[in-house]
Amino acid sequence: MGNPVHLLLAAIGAAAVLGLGFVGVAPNRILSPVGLPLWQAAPAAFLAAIGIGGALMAAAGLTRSARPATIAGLLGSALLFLAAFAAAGSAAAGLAAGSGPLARVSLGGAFWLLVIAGFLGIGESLRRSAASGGLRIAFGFVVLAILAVMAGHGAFDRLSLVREWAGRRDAYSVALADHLRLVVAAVILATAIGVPLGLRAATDPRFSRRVFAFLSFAQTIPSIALFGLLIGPLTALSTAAPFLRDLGIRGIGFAPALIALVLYGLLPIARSTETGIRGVPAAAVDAATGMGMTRRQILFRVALPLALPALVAGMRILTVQVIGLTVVAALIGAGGFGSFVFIGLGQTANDLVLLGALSAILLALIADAGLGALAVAARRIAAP
Amino acid sequence: MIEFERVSKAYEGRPALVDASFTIARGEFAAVVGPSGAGKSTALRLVNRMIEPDAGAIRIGGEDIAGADPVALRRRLGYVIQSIGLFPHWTVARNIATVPHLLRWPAARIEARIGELLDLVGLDRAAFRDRYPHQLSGGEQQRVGLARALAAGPEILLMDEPFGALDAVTRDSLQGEMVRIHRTTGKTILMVTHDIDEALRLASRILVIEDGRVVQNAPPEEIIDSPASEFVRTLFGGETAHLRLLKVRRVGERARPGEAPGDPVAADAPLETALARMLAAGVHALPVIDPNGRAAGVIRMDDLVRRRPS
Repeated sequence: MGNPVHLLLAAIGAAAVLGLGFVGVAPNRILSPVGLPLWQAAPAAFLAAIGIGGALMAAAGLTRSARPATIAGLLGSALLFLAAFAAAGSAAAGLAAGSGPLARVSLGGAFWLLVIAGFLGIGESLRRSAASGGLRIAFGFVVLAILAVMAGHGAFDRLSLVREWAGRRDAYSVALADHLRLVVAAVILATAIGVPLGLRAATDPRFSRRVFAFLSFAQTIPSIALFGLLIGPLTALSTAAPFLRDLGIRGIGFAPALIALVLYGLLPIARSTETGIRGVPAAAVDAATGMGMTRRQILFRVALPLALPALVAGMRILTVQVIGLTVVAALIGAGGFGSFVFIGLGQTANDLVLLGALSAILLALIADAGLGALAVAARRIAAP
Repeated sequence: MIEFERVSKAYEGRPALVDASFTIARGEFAAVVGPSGAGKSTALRLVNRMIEPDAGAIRIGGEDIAGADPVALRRRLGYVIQSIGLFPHWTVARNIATVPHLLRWPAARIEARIGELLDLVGLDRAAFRDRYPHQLSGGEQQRVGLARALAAGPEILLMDEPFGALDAVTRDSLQGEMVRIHRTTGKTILMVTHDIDEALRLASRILVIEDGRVVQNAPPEEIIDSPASEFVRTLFGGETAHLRLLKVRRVGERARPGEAPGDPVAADAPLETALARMLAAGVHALPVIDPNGRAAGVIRMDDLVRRRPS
């Protein structure tokens, strides 16, 4: 038996194509789009490409020998993934040409499911293959490069998502910068505070109970509520001490957003630090002490290197979580991709909402992959 | 070399060591024995100040360690524990170099020292230097642990049940190595063990601890011949205590010049092997050969019974 995952993904893709719209067409950006199935929206060549990709994946699921199954699965998934994008771009160009200048072509459920099926199929094939980490990353880059070349040639220009972006490029750059600034600041601050908390918690059970009771409680406050709650005290603070306002500390914007993000971020980083340090063999610490290492030497030469994988895992969770929560921080004027989401919600412009949300998701995926590479390095240090 | 003067230590009111006074001379191999929880490990860990005494003084080379910096003190003392505690993220070489690194020895000196120590503990330099602890057997790990403890040339070696977690065969071979290492390095060794045979085989002096009190402090043969109390007699095997000496003393220690017919017995075999072979062959003497297979004299039934004046 080959890989049943590919068979399942191919079936999901087929069901999506048959049951859901591939693109939606609306007379303008406010009205709800009307779904069009794949075979009506896209040229036959793309239909064929998607069909071949799906068939390869299904074959990968049914074939008995492992190596051909992996290769068929990988090529089929990549073909499905790329062809879905190309078909959507081509469909948008074709449909927009026949409608007015205000008409919008948005992406439908079948498109998203095909892309997800292709993405998961690629991941599954790479995991099953014997390929090294470098080869896997290289394959990912090739797929992304093909997408980038297609985008560079204007293949997606008529898609409503791209048109929303094209209409506000400057605002998009600002949002990206704001988002990144908040995320980087929050991750650095949460790590700087959370790691020492975790170190202390690992050796002091009473401190551990207290600090994690508080951090878990903070985690249960809905993010919108916490952002809102911080407006009052910070406004009062900046009114009482005007020099703070000159530093940019006000009731709304960067400062309250950062405080809330750090508060949420402390739990994963502190908890994983504690877990990592607790996992350091007691015998190694006893031997280190008995041989005359100072507390600092034990921490930096023995405990931290051995706890590094847990620590990086914590930073990974922290970073992805902060990227997501920063979307909500736009509500209190902190900017970032969330501003598109909330403006879009206000205007009932779904594509604008999607632009903000997808950007944040993409950022989270990139951060996760980058920290994943760091996690591999950390494991090499701790367990060579 | 190590001197305890009226040292006491209690944990939350429960005494672990009571008014202990004893002296271990330079070059001696001292074993601390006693039941679990009697205070053996406490005595050992007081020496490198992993534990601080409630009362009394501990001196090393005449100097009261209460005034010493604990970190500097520990770097002068080798430390070997039952759970070994190698650093899993470091190679064998880096593990051995722990204390020399802390003392900032020059790289070339550390490198030379690693080679010497691997030789000393019987590990092949090329094969072991760059391995990681998880790639070693338990016995190999403890050899590295021993090399690491000896790395900076400590005055004293502290060993807390060093071979307790090893299988019988590995333990026997490491005990043999320990005898050799003590002979070649002349270190003062303080070892805690609950294995009476191990103490009898290795130690030149045994301290028996019962409920935190040192109840006897004497060479092994003396403890066997005249135990200080019923407790000590029972601990060392009661009526059959002397049979233990047959198990731990080696043929080579009692062999005399001469020749005998028959199947030879190895010089490093325990006396009980010689006895068993005599019983099996129905003879009163056996030829002895050294580890290289050369004739090394003769051992007679008399030699098993009577100790040669040493």
